[in-house]
Amino acid sequence: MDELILKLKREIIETLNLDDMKPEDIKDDEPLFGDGLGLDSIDALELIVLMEKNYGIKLRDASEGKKIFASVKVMADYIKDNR
Amino acid sequence: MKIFVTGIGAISAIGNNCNEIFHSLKNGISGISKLEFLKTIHSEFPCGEIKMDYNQLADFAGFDNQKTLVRTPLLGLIAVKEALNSAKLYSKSDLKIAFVSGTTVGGMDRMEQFYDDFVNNDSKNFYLYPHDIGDSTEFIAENIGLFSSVMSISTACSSGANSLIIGAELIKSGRFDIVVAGGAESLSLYHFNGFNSLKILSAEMCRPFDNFRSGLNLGEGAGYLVLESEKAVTQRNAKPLCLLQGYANTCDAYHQTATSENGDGPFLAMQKALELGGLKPSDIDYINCHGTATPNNDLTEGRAMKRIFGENMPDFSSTKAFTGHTTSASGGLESVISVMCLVNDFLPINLNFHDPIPELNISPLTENKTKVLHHVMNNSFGFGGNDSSLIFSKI
Amino acid sequence: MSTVYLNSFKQISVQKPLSEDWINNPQNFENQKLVRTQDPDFKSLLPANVCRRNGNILKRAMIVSNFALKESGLESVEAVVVGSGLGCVENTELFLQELVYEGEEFMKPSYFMASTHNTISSTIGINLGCHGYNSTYCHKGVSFENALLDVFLQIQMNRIKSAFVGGFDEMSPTYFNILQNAGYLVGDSKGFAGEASAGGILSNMLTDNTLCKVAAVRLGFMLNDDELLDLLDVTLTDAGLQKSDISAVMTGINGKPSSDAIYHKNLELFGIQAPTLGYAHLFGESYSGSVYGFYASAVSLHQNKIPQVLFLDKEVENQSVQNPKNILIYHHFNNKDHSFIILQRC
Repeated sequence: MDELILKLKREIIETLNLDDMKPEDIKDDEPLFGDGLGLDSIDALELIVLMEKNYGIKLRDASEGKKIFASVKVMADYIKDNR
Repeated sequence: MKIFVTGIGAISAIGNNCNEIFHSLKNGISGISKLEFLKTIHSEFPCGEIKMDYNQLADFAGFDNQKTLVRTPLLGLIAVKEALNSAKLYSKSDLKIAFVSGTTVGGMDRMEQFYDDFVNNDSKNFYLYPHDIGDSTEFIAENIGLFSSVMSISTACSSGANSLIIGAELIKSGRFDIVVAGGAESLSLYHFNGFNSLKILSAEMCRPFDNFRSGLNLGEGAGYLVLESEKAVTQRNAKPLCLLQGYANTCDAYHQTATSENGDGPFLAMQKALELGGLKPSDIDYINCHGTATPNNDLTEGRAMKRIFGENMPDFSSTKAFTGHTTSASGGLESVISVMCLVNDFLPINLNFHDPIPELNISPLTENKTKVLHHVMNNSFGFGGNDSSLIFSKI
Repeated sequence: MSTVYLNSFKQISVQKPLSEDWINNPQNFENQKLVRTQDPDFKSLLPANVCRRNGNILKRAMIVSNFALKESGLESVEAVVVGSGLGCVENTELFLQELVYEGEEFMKPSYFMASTHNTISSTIGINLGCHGYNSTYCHKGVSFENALLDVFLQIQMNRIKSAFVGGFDEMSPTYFNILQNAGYLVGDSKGFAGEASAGGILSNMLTDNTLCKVAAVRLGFMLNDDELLDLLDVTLTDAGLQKSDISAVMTGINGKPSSDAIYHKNLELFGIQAPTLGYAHLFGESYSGSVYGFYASAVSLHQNKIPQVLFLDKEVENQSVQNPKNILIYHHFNNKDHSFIILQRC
């Protein structure tokens, strides 16, 4: 589980161009959107592509993503359950 | 100064000329269908595709040289030729004539087909020259031969409308007597996949202003208008169809792809267009809306319309369920449609509408309507919060 | 009709950014084919989130517009109009390469969103909080002139009082190779390809910072010699000038034999007895590179001296023109598109 979370953090940093961040800067249960990392709707779409491409998980739209992208931990749980 | 509309020309999935398009509108015939010519793995998304290949389009456009064929400028040439015929504008005489054209795809159809060749082989390099936007304009202009000045606009989905705005300004400045303006856009894998990456394509027939709308259907086409000064109209003894009475372009200045919550940009565009036209909201008899059927557009456009018109909402519809969203062409194409509606006192149905959006509680036209029209508004909104509104008025 | 003033103009280019250092310390790019922009330190000039999301051309656009607005002394502008021949090439290419080489399955929305041509003008609109008129012109080598004409007319006709106008183009190595192989960019030129990011504030207000007056802007397409001369006459008439009033003619002469030959032929046709200037040897060739000819002319008028570095005939030493009054800027693109601009000292 920890390994998946670390991998996800690395992928998020790369995909979203979070240049100055290291995996340890993202807390497992920190919200990714809004006040957390300050990501927006286009970032959510990028994360949907990431889920599809790297984990074969298809999400139809960004509104579905909102729940899943609540935090890295929620994302990892979702991947584990749906892979 | 008055800006007269003396000619119109268009091509889209519902017709290869204005008459065919009007016939389809009157008879509720949509052009949204399964893709045949654009080869994609995402065939689940229907589009308003014009069912002609490159050679068929070239033949139809009366373009002889079959070597370098690009889809957008061919569509544009077809519509511009029709507009000039409709205005009976065949020669230059001593009038100063300019051409303003809007597109964003330009020669991207060929770029995506031959990119690897450009990089590795160089056998298709003659398709590189026409890859940029300006070349689509020059291709059309060179084949027409009437224009002493040309300009190219690219403001995404409002390009056609913005071409008409600068076209009118060029006449009002006294620099030109006649300006042919509008937009053209072909389907391309590039923007089809771009819209898909933004998750705003619908796998169903689009449902503008419906509560259960699920996104847009892309389309392709072209629409151009001949704009003239009073002097040119008199000198040529032209028969004007109507006036381009008001227009405005504004910037939502909010987000690259989403409109602000209350549609500030669209609100300002409609408000300023009314102001320039010297009109009150109650003067507008029909709105041909942007109405793409994305959740964001229809909600914010509706909110902006409510802010302008309040409880006295004019009749309105989006014709995108007929043509698909023809992006850069839409401002031109839907202006042509608006002019035809105005001239014929005809209001087209908004196809596929069933349930109003609860936040708005407004309904577009659910059947065709005939009534005397005086002023018709046409909205076009593009990426980057680029919002334009045009008003066509009877003379 | 309102008079149109240029109240500021800032550049980011292959020369030292946001400065006029090129006048006394021009960098030399001889024997190079493609020179990329010398970017300022984005991170010290823009918020982190803005740097993360936006491509280089958009960051340049934001910085140029910020500095231009600040220097103009105005608090806001009423319009944003941009010229860009090719738009956001880097993101276009990233999206295109995904499409061509990886297929349609996992396309990245950020690339697409940042690749639309008018992303530049809308980014500036968002950046300056400008809800007014916003447009983008993409017309080969006269893209900037298209944009300038729009703003010029709108200020003249009192539609708006002020606007940001600029020219922006970027060039990636692969894109450059494609265009170069096909002979469309640089080709057999002695010059080099650059990128363009420059813009400034036009308004109807003469301020302490005003660089010069924009006295005329005219465009022409597919003109024969007589029509080209007519267009020059109209341009001079717009500015209330005669040929003899022109202090210098700024051109897009760039070392490309086919293009330069047309410049020389047309300059002879114009019959203006004034020195010929160029900027492409300093800033390079790009679709909206002509923005630097406009900029260099404006700076010359403001400083009351046309610097030696702009003179094309390097054989003659210590050239300069003191107290220039009117600079005519002439460009052609493939001998199809022609543009004239007259800048006038205030």
